[in-house]
Amino acid sequence: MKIKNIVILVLVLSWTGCEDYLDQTPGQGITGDEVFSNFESMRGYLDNCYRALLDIHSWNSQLLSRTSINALSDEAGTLFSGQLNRQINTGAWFDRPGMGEIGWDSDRTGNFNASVLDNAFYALRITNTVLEQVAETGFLSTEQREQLIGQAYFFRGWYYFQIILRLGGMPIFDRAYTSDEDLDFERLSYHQSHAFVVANMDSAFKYLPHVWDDLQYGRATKGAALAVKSMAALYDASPLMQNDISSVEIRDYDIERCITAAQYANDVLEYIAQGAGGARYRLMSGDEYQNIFYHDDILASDESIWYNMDAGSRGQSRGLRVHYIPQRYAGGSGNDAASFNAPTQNIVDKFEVINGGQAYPIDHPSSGYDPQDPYANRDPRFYNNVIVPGERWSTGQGGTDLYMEMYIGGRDWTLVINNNHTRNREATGYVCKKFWWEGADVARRLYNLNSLNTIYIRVAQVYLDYAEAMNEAYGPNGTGDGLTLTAVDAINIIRNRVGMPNVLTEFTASKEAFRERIRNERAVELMYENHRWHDLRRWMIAEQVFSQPIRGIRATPPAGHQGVADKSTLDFTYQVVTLSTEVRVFERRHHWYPVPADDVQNLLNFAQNPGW
Amino acid sequence: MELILKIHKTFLCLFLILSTCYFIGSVPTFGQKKKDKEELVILNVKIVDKNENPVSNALVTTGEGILQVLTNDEGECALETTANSVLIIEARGYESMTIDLGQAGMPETITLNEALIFGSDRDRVNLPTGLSATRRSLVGAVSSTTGEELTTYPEAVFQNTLQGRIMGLTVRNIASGLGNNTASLFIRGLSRGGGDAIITVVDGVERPINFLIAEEVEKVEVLKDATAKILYGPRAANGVLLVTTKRGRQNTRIIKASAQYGTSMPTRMPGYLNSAEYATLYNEARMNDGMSPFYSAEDLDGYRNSSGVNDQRYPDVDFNDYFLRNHTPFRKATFEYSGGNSETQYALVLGYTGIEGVETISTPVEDRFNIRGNLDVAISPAVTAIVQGNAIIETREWGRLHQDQVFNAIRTHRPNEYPLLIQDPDFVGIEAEVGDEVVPPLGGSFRHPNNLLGDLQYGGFSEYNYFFGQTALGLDVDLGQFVEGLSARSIFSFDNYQILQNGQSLTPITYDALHTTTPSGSDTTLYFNLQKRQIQDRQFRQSDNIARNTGWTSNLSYAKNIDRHAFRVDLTHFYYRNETGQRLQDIENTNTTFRLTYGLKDKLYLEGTMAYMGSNRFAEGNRFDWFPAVGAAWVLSEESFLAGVKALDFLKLKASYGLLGYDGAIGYYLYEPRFVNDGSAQFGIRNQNGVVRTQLVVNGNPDLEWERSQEINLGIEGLALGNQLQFEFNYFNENRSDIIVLAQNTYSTVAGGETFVMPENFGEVSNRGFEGAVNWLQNIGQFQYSVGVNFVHSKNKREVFDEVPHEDEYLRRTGRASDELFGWVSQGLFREEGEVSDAPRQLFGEYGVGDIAYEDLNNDGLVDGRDERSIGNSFPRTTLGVQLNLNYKRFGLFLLGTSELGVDRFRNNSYYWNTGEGKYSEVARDRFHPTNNPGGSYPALTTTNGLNNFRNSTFWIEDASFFRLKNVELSYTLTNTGWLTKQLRFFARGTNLFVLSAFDDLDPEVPNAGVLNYPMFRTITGGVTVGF
Repeated sequence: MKIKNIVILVLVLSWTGCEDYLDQTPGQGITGDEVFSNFESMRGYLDNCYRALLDIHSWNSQLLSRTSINALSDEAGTLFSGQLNRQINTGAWFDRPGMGEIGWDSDRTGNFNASVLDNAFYALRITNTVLEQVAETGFLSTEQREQLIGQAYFFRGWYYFQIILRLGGMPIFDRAYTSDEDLDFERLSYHQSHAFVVANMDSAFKYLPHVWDDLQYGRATKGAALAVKSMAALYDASPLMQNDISSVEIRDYDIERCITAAQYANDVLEYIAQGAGGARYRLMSGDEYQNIFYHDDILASDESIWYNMDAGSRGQSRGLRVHYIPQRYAGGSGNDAASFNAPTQNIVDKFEVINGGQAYPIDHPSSGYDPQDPYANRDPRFYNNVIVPGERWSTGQGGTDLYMEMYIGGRDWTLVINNNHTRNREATGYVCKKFWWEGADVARRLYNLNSLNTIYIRVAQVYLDYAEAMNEAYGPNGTGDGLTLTAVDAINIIRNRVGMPNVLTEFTASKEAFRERIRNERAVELMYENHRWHDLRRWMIAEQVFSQPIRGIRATPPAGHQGVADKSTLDFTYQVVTLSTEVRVFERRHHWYPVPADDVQNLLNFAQNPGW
Repeated sequence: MELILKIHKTFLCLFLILSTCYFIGSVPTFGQKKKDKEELVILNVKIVDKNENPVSNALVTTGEGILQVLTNDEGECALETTANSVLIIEARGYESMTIDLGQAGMPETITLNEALIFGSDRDRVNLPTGLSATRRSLVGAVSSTTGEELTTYPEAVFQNTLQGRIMGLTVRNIASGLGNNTASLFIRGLSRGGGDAIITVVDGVERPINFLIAEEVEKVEVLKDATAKILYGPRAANGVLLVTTKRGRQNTRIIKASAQYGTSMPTRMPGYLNSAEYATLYNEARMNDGMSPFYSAEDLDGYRNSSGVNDQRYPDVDFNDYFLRNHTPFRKATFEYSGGNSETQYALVLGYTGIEGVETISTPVEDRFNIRGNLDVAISPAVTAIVQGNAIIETREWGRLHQDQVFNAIRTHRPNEYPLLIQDPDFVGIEAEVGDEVVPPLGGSFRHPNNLLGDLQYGGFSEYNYFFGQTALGLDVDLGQFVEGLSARSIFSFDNYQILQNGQSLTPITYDALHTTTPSGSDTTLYFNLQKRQIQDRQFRQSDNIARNTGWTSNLSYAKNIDRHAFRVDLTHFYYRNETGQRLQDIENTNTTFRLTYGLKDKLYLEGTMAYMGSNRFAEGNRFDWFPAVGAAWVLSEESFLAGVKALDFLKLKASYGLLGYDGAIGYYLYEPRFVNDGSAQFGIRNQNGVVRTQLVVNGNPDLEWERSQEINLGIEGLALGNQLQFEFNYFNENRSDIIVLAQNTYSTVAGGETFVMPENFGEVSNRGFEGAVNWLQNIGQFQYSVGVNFVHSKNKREVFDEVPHEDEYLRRTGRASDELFGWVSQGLFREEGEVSDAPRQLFGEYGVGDIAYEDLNNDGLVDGRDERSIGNSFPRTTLGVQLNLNYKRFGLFLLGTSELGVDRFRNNSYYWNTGEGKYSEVARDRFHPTNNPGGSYPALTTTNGLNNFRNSTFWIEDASFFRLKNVELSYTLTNTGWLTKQLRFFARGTNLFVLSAFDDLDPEVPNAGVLNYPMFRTITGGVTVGF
């Protein structure tokens, strides 16, 4: 009887609950409805746009491993054998998933080191979703609402600009599309696309605050919206952008658009001068020059208008070691210590020589430039940016001076040519110190002494943009409707603040002659700030620039140099060499990146760029 | 000396087992009569049918289940037995007969009653959830082998014993180190084209099988068609491998012990160049790249005269030779004890398996103990309790490095990378002490700061402990007293799997020696410290994992025969849940089936099943769905029109169709948009204010439905020529639709990146093919032999696939088999400058003379991503197993050959692709160089990544079809040798004896064996089995 009861119980138990037990509440994550019924989580969703911002100082920015984006152009050479120099610089750009700047990846989208284009499309969808959700919800306060839509418009404009400046005109992406919609877009011209950037920045300007409180400092502001609009306008006026989507031909600036660009830049400068709402942007002085880029214990440098503050979460030490610090200073033996990105002779030659109160290009007959004493009397920014062979740099643990021995037989040099991470590449002979302060090395480990943001737009750039647009619109010394500052004035402001004399008058006579100096000034002032590459493209001079080899310096010290304590006193013999491992293949079609093959084939009306 | 110790250990084990046997054998056993002292008699017996015709090939079992003989063509056999033992006679086409000699005396002839062919209890085919069918009435496709047959393959991983054994099952080996190299199993090819894994079920519950030993297995069955799989529910559509463990049988008492010892030897190993050859070729590579040679003539001389592994300036380390040995022991001992009477049946199996790794230093050791007990006890006349328990305890001890890490070092550390030890008298560095051990200074390089000797010898250790416990408790109730023919059964199961890894990780100090010249001009060596000393003061838990299975199965069955009509109804319900640490969502599903079978006159069988499947992978409302399967079998040989065909003993046609749901390859929580609060955006002073970000994890789709598998099976099976020829052929056609895919390629990324796409019921794959098995068995006097072959041929096709609609048809994957390999079409090497300039431009990376030329398929003047096409396939179109069994008197010989046909592989691991700063294998000798080796067929060497050459192309593909002599057993059997043993069987076994293939340098089945991980082993063992 007892057994029978147990038997019945067991049999009954095993048949129960058959419909219920799969109905557990899933304990993972939060649903879409929850996200969009709460200000913090909506903002948290929008804040992915900050995370997706490019950070050029990250160790693996844009999946370029340890290569700086600057090694795309003629500014930098790299000792890291990776996809940038092995593939991107060989011009093989078509269908390159996982190829950083020129290609795609999809597995890191949304992270600061993913491809900039992938992140841009990803962020566009976020901004569109947020704008749609905000329009539908009623619970937000006016301030919350304006914060959200102001930033959403800003990012929609910014990321859209990042796409079109690389790929050319695009359809307008102003909705969060779903996969059952007809997505067969047709591409618009660059100018039509540019109008979308301007419209978004105008909306952003309307809703964004002048400044954020200290806790939220680093978010986009009215000033940032104005500055992006100005930068985008200069691009819109540039030669490359005068092509329609089916052509890439060498063209001129569009004068009307140059006038607009100059006006927008002037708006920024006026806004800065007003200091509206407590905004404290300013052109920093020559004494503070290095602290434009890194600085201790302030929110962001006053010259930074639009920048990636979140970059602080990248692991600053690794980024510094990978990009800028040679192995002996970095310590360790791995890749992170062995692959730095160094200035080329090409960029070094752009720094002018000061001779008798005037500044000359090095090939100017009056420059007095001596190839065997090449680093004398150069533009002060040269000494801020570049470490030359034998230069004293930093102090060791016991307070002894350290010297950069990037010369033949020097210790830094020996490490480069013996280390099997680097021995198949050729060093330029220089080291970049623009973002590397003394003490950030294995001896003193002050890697986190300063904050190092990735700056997209700073005040000096606005002057340079203004000068470029003014020169094209009105000539070097012309003024326009409400535009009282001439192109020459704007350039001299940038030069004078670091102690550089005015541009030689012989260069300010014609638009064409001064154009060259503006471009040189831009290369010098914005060195290593991820501008040069895009400037070469939009000016359409990349083919010409890359037809020249990338060069480096070989400094040979006198015999017995090991015994000399102060390496800066060594009497080097200098030889400029061509770096055979620094190849740059750039043809006409490379001005626009190839649209991903998948998209072109998926979308019948979506045109591929010419030549791809 | 070491070897002797190992043998000693094995014998100690055997001794322990034998003494246990003796102990058990000498006490009265549960449910068994105490025997009088037994005297052996020789029994000559003839087995006949009711017409006095001899029955050949009848299996006569005596000795309480241990001794077995087959009758000859005259139906006669002779066996030694005792006067009071029990004979069990089994023959195909006859009912089994049990004769207690103590009561029946010594019969000279035994008359068997005829039975339906494949219709008796012996012909039971196990189906999921405790159901079964006779082979005669089976409408579907199920093939099997026995555990006994698998014992011939000495191996620590159960999957690996299955290759070539079962029709329809494809077993593909992998290289993954000691005890981890579990072969991948496929049933009837690739039914989904990705995520094709089958499930393995042990005694009714989905469980891992890699730790099983063949000795505890009664039967392994492979369920292939819809009517069989539908019973196992939502995870079964890819196929089910069903393992049934041994249970006690009535009237038997088996006590059996077995021990074997042997050696495993690597088969094919990659060869690498020595320092002198490496340095010479590296210089050549530098010059090919337009750079100056790196090693001077003096260096090359130094390498040529190197003093070996510790040459301070010119080391020459043969890593294979120094760190690997060419034999490793295999030990196994098992003990089986089973039996029963009509009330109680029991089975106990114990096993020990011991294997070791090939590393000479910190040799990995794995020891496993298996204990399994199955018990069926009648509690009352109508109620039987079922108790099943299984425990597996395994320990693995090795150095800090896993085997793949060791092989990674071996294949990447160049022979001249570093001297193993720094033995420079002038060396000034830290003398490191790790524990009691003094660690000498070790060499290293910037590229490889770690030193393999240091990591193995001074790097610490790791230890794995596995504890698996599996239990099942159930009741079988005959409800005949209420309704005749009604019975019920319920089994609850609970498994626990624990893995714990402890270890201590130490980092020895290494130095790179930089040889330079001092200011005064003399040579000096600077030591650059690469690795700092790191010591853990104790062992740490390095990883752990716990998994749990719970579930139950219930059956309610009703059977009724009315005249010539046999009805049976089964209502079955099961629930299965698997919880594994770290997994996002538990596997949880349920299946309720209603199965109706009908038999007419034992020749026509019909079957229909409705299944109500449930899975937690779908949104509420879509969690449950109905699926049907139907089948029919017709025994043609019973029909009068075939009665005249004497040669044909049995012939059956069968057909089945079913529509199954599948949830086994669906991601977790795909049924709703899901966000997480994760990570932050940083603002404020020095980015100290982290604001939480909300991220979209998946743009989930609430409308997701079940993946569907529509399957047809058509088969014919039979027996002919006096039951000597047995055959079965099946045709199958499966269509898998509604495969859940995140169709990222179908939708443009410009609309918003990957989060824009929702998972959808999107993909469709069809898979068809045929399989067959033929077996011939013959007795010629004392010589018996059987020969059998089984094969499966399959090819699938992607009907709907997530891809971009490429304009060039050859780029498309849709309409092709899912295993097709895509690559470029090589036109050989560029051998002259003119060839390079005339050819279309190749856009992969720098190239020139000595590099691979590719065909420009679309004639656009460029070779790029648009010039790839299908150039082979990675899954064998046909897999084959051939078995030969020879018995002559006491000798037995078993041979198993296995084969894959119609399969290609790329030669693309680091052995074949020598690039950059990597190690050079012996293939580099054949490199092309215009002057040094103009006849070379390997691309010119380079210090770059070689992006032009090292990509999948026809240059690297090879037909990897192979035939392997997989397994051999030679045995010698003595019966009734004395008072203690009834049977004594000596055997020698061998595995992987040779392989024939066009892929002839590394193993064609596992080219990564020996490169990325352990090599393929050839194992030779010898041993003895004793039956008491």
